[in-house]
Amino acid sequence: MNILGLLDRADSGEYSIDGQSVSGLSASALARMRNAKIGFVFQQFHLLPRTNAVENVEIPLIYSNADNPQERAIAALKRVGLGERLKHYPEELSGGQQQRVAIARALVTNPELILADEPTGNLDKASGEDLMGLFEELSADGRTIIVITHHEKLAERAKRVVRIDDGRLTEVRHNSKRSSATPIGEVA
Amino acid sequence: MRWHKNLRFSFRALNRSRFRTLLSVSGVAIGIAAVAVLIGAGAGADLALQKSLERLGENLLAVNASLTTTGALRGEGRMHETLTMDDWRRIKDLPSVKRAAPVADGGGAVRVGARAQSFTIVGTTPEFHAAKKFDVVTGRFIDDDDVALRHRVAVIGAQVVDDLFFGEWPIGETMLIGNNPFTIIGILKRKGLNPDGTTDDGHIIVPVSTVQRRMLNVDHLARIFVQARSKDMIPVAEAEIATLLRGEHGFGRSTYADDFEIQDQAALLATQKKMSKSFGSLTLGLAALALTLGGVGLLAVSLLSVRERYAEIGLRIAVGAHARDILIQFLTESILLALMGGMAGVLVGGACILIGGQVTGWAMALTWETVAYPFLISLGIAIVFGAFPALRAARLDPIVALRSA
Repeated sequence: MNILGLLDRADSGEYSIDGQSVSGLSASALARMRNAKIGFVFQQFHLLPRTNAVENVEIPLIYSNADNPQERAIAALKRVGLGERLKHYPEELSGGQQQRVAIARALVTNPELILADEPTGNLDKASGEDLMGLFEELSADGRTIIVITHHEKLAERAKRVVRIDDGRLTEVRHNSKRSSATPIGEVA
Repeated sequence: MRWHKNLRFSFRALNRSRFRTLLSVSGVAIGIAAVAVLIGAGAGADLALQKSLERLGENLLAVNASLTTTGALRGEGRMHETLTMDDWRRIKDLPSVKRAAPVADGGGAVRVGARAQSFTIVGTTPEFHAAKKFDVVTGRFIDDDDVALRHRVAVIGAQVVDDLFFGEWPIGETMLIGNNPFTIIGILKRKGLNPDGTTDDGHIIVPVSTVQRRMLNVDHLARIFVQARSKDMIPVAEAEIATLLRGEHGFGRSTYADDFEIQDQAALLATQKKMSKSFGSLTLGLAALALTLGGVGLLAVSLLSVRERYAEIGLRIAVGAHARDILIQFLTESILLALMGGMAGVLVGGACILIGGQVTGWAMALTWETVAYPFLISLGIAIVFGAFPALRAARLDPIVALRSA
């Protein structure tokens, strides 16, 4: 996950993103690549406290010096169904809503890849189902979504499942029942 | 990333933890206020010194009769009685000397009606007026006729008017100095305090001849005030006077000590200034201590803030912040805190200067330095004490930071 998210470097092997090998890139180049190509969704949401939804979602845009960060943040929040909660603080939102803000933050730079680390881990079952529904929609839009999870049932919704046991890759499986062209992986 | 955006992040972060912000700001503010007050007090002392230099009279030397150190018969510790009106006349005519005024001191009880009090009696000549800047507000100063004819006339200081006349009109009134009746002919302008805390406002100016003949029955003088022609001529005048007096008094050829001493009044003040400076550096040390405490407070709070915000830092790095961005954000927070502290400190310090100056009567002045230096110092504190936490934040491993939340 950390290597995929460019937060860590691989000890051995090669990692290419969008056809570009990352092993020789500087810290600054990696930061730019994280900003432009990867969106993170965490189990603990990692929203800034006492900072409203729009301001939380703006952050990646501000680091990339993007134009109209506020408008784009609002659009991303509307995309995840939080158009009515723009000025709410994280403390005022439910767990599911907080995770939606986090997804909006991951979406706002329009990245090719969304990395979700146990995204449903802190959510109740209904919110988790909602979230997976949202991921499926985004996947249908043509975005790569990698979900890391321990839930077998959750993994069944992915197009491709990669099982890792104790650091070893033990299974690669394609779920035929999914129509989406976008793979979703599992690391157990 | 642009600075103004960082400024926004920093403002938001400070706003999120207002109590912590308040704590850091007040720590810095206390130190800055202390510095502002000290600078104000220093500027006030300089101003007071400047004023007293102006009051003192320009390029002034005092030729004093010195204390005796030999002479068992007459006893040690008395004043030499060798300085005379003849010395004054000769000194007056030296090329380096602009003017000179002799002084015969007489003390004693002064009575007006039923009221009696002790004042300093200065027997002198009209030159005293210009040499020592004793200006007359009402009436006139003593003149050459008064001196020649030993008139019993007196010009009195503002304090004398306050103490003996209670708002009555003193000009033309008679006062008893000892048993001699004097007619009051003028009132001196109020001069205020000297740098050493004494005042000349309790002086009574009378003709030197009147003091010598009618009051004390002596021939000698206590001192002669000498005004040199210019600042550069002060050392020349000193040398000329010393040579002259040694020749006249017969001490130049012997190993005896001089029976006079010459004081450069401005140099005396400079010494005092130096003393107040060294006192100033002591208090400045205390202020530095207060500032350091404020800075350490800022450091502690910033470190705490970094530790508390590991998750935030990790997230910022994950969404594309460069290490530089994190560094700038935290440094900006420190600078904002210190500047707010600086502003509060200057306000408090300024108020202390204005109010304290009124209440204590100490000379304090609100100058641009009082504002500018504390601001620069607080900026310095921010950079010195903010750099370490900011660097620590910027060097954080995002994986560790994200996991620690």
